[in-house]
Amino acid sequence: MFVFVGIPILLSAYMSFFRIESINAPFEYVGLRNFADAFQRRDFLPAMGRTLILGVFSVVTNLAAGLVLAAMLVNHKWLNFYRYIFFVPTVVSAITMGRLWSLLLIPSPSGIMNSVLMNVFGLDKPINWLGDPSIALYVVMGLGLFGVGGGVTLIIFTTAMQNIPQELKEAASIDGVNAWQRFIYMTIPMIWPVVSAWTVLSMIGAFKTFEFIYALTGGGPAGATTTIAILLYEGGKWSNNGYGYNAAMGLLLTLMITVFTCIYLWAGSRGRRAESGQGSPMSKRRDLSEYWRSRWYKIPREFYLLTNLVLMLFPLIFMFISVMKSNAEFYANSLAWPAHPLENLRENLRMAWTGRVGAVQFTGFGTMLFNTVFLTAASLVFMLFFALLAGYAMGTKKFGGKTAILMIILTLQTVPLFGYIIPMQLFLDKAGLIDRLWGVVPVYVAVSLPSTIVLMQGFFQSFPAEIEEAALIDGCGEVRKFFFIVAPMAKPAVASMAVINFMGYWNEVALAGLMLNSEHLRTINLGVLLMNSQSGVSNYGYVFGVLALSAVPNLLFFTLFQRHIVEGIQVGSLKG
Amino acid sequence: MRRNRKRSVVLLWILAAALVLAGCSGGGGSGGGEGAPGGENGGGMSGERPSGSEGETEAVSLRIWIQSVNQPEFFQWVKQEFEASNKDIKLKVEAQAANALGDALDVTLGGSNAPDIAATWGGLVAPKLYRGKRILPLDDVITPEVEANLLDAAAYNKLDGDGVFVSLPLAGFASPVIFYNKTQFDKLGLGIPTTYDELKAVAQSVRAAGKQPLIAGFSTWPLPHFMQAIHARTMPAEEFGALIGRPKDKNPYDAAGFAEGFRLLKRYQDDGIFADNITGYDANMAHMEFIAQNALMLAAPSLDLLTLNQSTSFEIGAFVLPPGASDGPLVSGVYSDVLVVGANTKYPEQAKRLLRFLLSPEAQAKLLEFDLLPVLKDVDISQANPALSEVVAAIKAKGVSGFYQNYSTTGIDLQLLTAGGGVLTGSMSPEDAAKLVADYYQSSELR
Repeated sequence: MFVFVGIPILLSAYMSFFRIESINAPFEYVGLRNFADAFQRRDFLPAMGRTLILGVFSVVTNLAAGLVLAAMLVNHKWLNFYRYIFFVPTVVSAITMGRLWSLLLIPSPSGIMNSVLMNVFGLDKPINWLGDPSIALYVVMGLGLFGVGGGVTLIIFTTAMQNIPQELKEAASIDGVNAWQRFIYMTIPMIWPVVSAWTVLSMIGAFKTFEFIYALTGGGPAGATTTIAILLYEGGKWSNNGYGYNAAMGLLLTLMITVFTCIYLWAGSRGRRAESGQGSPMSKRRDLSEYWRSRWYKIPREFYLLTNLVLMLFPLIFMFISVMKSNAEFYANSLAWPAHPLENLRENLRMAWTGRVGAVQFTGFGTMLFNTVFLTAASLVFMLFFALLAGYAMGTKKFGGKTAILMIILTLQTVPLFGYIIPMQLFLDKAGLIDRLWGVVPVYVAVSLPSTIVLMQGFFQSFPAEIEEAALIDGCGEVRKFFFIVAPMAKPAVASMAVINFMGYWNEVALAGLMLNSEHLRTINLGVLLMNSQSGVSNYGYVFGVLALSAVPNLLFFTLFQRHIVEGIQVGSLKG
Repeated sequence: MRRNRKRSVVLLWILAAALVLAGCSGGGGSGGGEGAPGGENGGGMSGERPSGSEGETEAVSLRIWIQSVNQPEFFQWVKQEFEASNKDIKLKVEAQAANALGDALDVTLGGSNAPDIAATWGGLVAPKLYRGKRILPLDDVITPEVEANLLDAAAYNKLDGDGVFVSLPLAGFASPVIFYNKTQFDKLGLGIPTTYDELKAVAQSVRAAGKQPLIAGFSTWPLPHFMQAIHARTMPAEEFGALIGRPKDKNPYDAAGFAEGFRLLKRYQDDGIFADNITGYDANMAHMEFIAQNALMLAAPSLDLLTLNQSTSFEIGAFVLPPGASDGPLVSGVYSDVLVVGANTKYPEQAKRLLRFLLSPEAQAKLLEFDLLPVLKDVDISQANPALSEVVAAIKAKGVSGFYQNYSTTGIDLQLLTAGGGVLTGSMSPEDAAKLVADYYQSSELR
């Protein structure tokens, strides 16, 4: 962790005081000039402003919609079904969804959104959705509404609501207060610790917003959707503006996130006080979920849920229909059903799998799948091994410097990847890890370890000491005890951590994009992202074939491991 | 008991360290997870490191990074031919994504995974690599005789002031040229426009036929490329040349012709020459609109002819943009795909032997089969590639402009993208657009 994350962070701080044209050239000390430039030039502040706007909008809409949806669904008999459906857009990688939306929003009349608006609603000319700087940011914000309140948010909020003691609900029902009062004065205060933590964490997450927007617009048009993460990623990829300036921007981002983290910690401590009874004045009220049970509200509730469901699935349905079309059919009428769906499907999937489109050879999906599986599996094995060891030690043992180590881990967890991604790239290259598939593994492990160790530590803190003592009395050594008693008992936590990190590794693209250059080393998401800029991609059948194939493993994985994913998120949210 | 515990913990950490080291070294050579199944990425390319000590009798292994688009087919032929005549050298050709071949080489060429030879772009990248001591000078490859035979020496990176050749021009391409749907043009009775008014009339006829006229991927890099062609039509040759020289004592972006370029861009749009919503298309989407015959003209680099020919069911022609407002150089920029030799290569002589082979008339003529433009003057292209020869004839009629480095220089090109996009979408005036670029240049120079 210290090697792959700590050193780049320190390097980032050092480089930010220099002008660096070339890594091999002498560094020119410029003091605070790079920081001053960040505030004077036209890139950093606007990008930060857009990041804040997108973040606030996303948090507010997700918070509102998440609470309403959670209240509707917490006692719904189809809770698991809806939770599954609402999670689907989250499961499919942001890169795939971004690319998919960019195709839905093609600015010509053959683009499906324009086609719908022109043919069904009589719009006279197509809209330039992502090509007009005056509306592009709003379009990005609007797309954020697809899936709003769903996914992780829904799981966290429904879990929090389910954890409200039943006795309180029963007691409140006798009081006869109305539904809105119950929701506002009982449910909200009861779940406030979770809500406040979620809000701040979402805001921190907004500073890292990258994949979806980058796949959708690449930061354009005319820079209108460039967020701070995109600015830094582009800086790392092309060394725009010089390494020192980029390092300075990264450091400023880190400072910004540190502020939000402090707010988070403050909110957390306040929440814990509230949880212990000091701050929930109306804790004897009932919740809004009771309200939605009333038959008068069943119809609007189901209508709202079904509308959401259709909106959530619409892009994916479009994708799976489009993959059954030929290139010509897609152009002729993007709304029509294909004439020979199975033949087209077979041909499109063949092109995607082999990467062969006419005489042009792209990276085949088979290769990308192999790379992704290797990278994910190897990273997962090492990460779990180290997290288990470290979490066990941190959670159960007393040793000198433990607090200091914990502080370091928490610090490393706080610093955003984009804050040190440029020095990290340089460091990794010096270490000979660039453009090697296995070279990405230690980086993935190091980046994901801090948060996993913290969660594992939490698990082991409640691990029964009697079991360990009994094992020692029976003559079990430390190693045997760990592998044969502790590790098997930690299986639920390990499974949850494995599933959550699996999704992270599988969908990761920023580090892979900086480290893996060769075509034959592309991962699935990297391949999908680079389809955007790769010359010669001129067949929509191929494009949809790749998108569909990229979505299938994620959907399959989520279907198979839904329980663990939900548990993992619940564990994370409760720790929050 | 306590000692046992300590020992166990120590053992565990040693085991963990060993596992990490095993993991790091295990995938190192050719294998582990790196090997792509099926070798489907062109030309049997390999991810292996060259074996520097393969024995005296064994061939040395030269590792070469090429562009993943357009170049793999050509290099399949190179590998076959070069190895046949150079038994002591084996080529390991690796296709790379574009982002690996630009400024990223500054990092890569200093690392342990550096290739011996790498493709990159003309312009500022190679000189920067040279100043950073990442690549070798190539004066002994591009001799005065070779230089005299280059299509235009200035176009191919003769480096800044030192007069040192640092990269080998392999293949040229003009960007942008205007590809047109010859089949549809013939049907509509349209000819190649040679003046702005003729282009405007063609666009009106195309629109009257229910099609879109000129499409381009203006949400990304094709816009800065197009701006170069525009500025070559609005700036006198001297002003245009100043942009290439990147003078430190003045700001060449303050020139009147530079702002005029943005006004001409706006005029293209106002006169209906561009397709509707042109800022919403990336390069691939624009290609697809052209392939689907929704738009009958496409602004793109000449080397896209290869993929277009493979995708279209109609005949393709090409021309260069007609004149603009002034007596500018009136050409599309000619870029070169270049190769550089890494400073850390163990086999500099073998690498240079390959470069000399690539500059041979035989190899240069072979480029035409892949719709790439030879960089030697004495290669006859008129018969081999009619569509390409139309473009080259138009360029040669006026003389080849120097490669306009700043239009593909990171930083400036992003400003041009922002400025051009702003003008086209009405969020920026042409004057403000020119000022945006000029201010950026000023601040970057001051830094």
